[in-house]
Amino acid sequence: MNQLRGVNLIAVPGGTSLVGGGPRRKAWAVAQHGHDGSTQRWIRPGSVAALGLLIAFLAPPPVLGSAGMKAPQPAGLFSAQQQRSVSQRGESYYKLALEQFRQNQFRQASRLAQMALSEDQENASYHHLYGLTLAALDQGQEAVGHLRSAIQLDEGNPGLYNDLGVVLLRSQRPQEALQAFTKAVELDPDYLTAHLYLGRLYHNASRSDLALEHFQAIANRDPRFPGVHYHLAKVYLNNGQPEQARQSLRSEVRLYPQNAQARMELGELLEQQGETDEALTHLLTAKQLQPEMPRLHLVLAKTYRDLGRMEEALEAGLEEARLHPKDAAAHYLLAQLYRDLGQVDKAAEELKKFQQLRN
Amino acid sequence: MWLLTLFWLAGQVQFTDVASQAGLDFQHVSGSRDKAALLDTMSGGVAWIDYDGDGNLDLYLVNGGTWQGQRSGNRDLSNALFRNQGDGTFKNVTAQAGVAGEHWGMGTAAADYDNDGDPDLYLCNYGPNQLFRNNGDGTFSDVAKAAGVDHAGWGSSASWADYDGDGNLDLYVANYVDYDLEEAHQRTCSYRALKVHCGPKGMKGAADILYRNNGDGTFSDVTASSGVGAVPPSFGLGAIWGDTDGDGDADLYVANDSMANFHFVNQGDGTFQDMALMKGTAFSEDGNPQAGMGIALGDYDRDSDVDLYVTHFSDDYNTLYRNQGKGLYRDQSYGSGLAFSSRQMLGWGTQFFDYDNDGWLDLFVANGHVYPQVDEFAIGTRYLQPKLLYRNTGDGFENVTGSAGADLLVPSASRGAAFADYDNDGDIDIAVNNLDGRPQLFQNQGGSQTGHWISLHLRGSGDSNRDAVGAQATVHTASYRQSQQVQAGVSFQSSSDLRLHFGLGPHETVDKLTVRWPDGRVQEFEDLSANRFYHLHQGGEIEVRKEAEGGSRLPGRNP
Repeated sequence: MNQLRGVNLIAVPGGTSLVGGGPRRKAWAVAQHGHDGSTQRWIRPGSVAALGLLIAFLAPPPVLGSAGMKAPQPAGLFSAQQQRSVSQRGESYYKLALEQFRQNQFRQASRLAQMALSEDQENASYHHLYGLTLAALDQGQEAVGHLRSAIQLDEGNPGLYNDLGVVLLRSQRPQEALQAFTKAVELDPDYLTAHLYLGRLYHNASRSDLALEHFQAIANRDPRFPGVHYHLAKVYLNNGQPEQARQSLRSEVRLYPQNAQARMELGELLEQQGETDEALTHLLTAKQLQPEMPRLHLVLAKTYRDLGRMEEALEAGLEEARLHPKDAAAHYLLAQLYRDLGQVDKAAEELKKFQQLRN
Repeated sequence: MWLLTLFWLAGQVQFTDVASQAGLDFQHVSGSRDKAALLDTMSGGVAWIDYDGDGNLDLYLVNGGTWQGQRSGNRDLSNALFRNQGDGTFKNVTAQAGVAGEHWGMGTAAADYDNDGDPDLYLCNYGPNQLFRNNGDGTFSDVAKAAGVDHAGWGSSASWADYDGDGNLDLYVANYVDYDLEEAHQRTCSYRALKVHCGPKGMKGAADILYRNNGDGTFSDVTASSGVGAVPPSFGLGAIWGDTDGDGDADLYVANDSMANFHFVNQGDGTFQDMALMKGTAFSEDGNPQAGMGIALGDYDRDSDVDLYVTHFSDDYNTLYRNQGKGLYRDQSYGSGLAFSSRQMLGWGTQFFDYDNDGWLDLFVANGHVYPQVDEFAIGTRYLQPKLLYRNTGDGFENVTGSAGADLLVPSASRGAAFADYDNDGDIDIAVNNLDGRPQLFQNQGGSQTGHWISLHLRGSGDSNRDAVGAQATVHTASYRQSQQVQAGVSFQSSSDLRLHFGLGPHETVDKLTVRWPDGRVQEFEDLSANRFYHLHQGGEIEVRKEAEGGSRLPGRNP
């Protein structure tokens, strides 16, 4: 719950244009939190899909780091409004709930959304918003129930499935989430956030074939989609296709030079391929962008070691261990560095730490 | 000479599977087709052994088992010994030789443990292991029980060496899992959302065993007293002996599945200490345990110390541990160009060998998954997999599988792989045992034309074991030197030609050959002509044999 506090609300696309707007085909960007740059999300205006911004706070893609913990954006709720008469009172409650929600006042938002719902149990938007407020209050089970009710009332709306998927993911129900995201892209093959989720879910399940399919679906529709080339690269690496991975990472870095994670991955790949000078360039840039990123100093240490710069390797290894003291790999590398420098006692000390962490 | 250079530059070596025409009529069977149990997936090994002493290497193939046979106690399968008839064909002599095996077979290692001049066979089983003593008349007797090496468990690989320098070959047996077949069949596990058999994770590891050869036909279990029992029981799959720290005695490396590997350093007093962590050979580069299967040991970078290569599960890379000197290793898998190409493969049998005789040790890997279910989806790996052949360029390894013969690309569920110049034509061939399949015999075609070579057959005497296991030969040519050690029990569950084969590239002469015998004595020989098989008797003269003696030759293939 706390992680939702103090979150900036981002641009709500279109304001009133959202009201009554159906899902559109084109993805568009909503800048969040001054990333760059940095975090951007591709969402669809005028759609419940705007709630795909839940991505940001429920499960931020690793490429974008964890900085972007964002509130869910109910901007598109009105899109689910069905063509039916609505109660004036219900609408008022709903609008107030929405406003509270945007201000991260989830309890108030939830109460108001519930009141709206009590005015009209057949309104998909009310169920949707209420479900999201419950999710924000960590009442996942109830949230899922209301999102499913919203879907029953507006079953052709891919955004509802997407948001259900997000809430299910947050509730540690990946199989059901997978079904929800799949339904979202069935209803709207251009639903890029749902593709992204599917790709990541499949990648985590080691189904690289399906992960690739979804990431490529995004890249084909919008080659500038943030992170997509990074994710493609991860799949390629897993498939033992380093050249394709390198190409994808280069694309990501070219499009988003501030993407520190992609820089780090590219640096590591280049180090593995023996191109240590270029690797070092990317790693040092990543260090400037996100100096505390896990693994970064570990890879830097390996690169310095490759270059025979043992003191700098040691320094980087120590920095990794300082920043991430539970990183067993850092201690393992430190042990090897000390060993190679002839400092056997220190090597043994690091191995001891390594073993303690492994156990 | 110019023709040789031409071939050498062109690198036109091809491997052709001649198993069928050679008469290797053998069908491996291992449990259920869907591999419902871990046991179904791990067999079996293959050994090159000149059991009849005619100068032609014969082939021993280990078979698996069936559940019915296991339950009834009557094995309905047989291992097979094929006698090399010297004309490119083999004859099944299993029944006469008496080496069918009584249990679900796994690994095998051949060596003359009783120093009587003929090679014997040790067989690891799921069930009591067997020691087939060569009677010298074409038959063998199982003496495992009398010798005290009939441990009943799940033996995977065995390897021979004289670790205490008493002239008798001792035996290390890597055991896999403390396993109950019936219990294991009751469970299923998930892999990539596929329903598959369980294990080894979640099962109990089995303790390995070191047997000391008493020199009277019996062995003593010295696991505890030697220190190799000080490590926790693990999932041992591969084992190999070699002098990894250059101090002249036999050290031991053990590949464990999903656990830290062991690197037992011989302390010179009959005891060992596991130094894998400090040596850098326990884990991957990032300190992760890998699924160790097969092991190759050799000096691939010609810096006069031995390096290690270990094969692993898919979604992980096979690891090259480069010896940086003083027995300290570094994971050089990525830097050498070996890592990425192995990620989708599940590797087993492997060995360093110079297939093109250019003077650099190349590398072969036999692959195949353990889950047939991986074929249900296109997840980037397959159940049946091609082999991997890497050419050592002197600056790393290059994957040349695609250009070294279409037969290497035939997908199989391969396990054991053993290496030998079985046709005595001056290049190394490869035998592969395939799970639930027929064996492959990859005849090296062109290797003897792309570079010069010599082959050394070492015979120990005095305080050295007869097979000279553990001896190290160093070949000096005008431009470089290279070393190899005699190893008995290598790769995965397998045993290769004990002769040492050196590629010499363009060099027609070995300027100097230095042999450090197992007992520490050193002999030197000078000005050896290339393209010859040499027999070296410790303390005696070197005996020259022309190439292809008794071997099968393809017309026009020999220089």
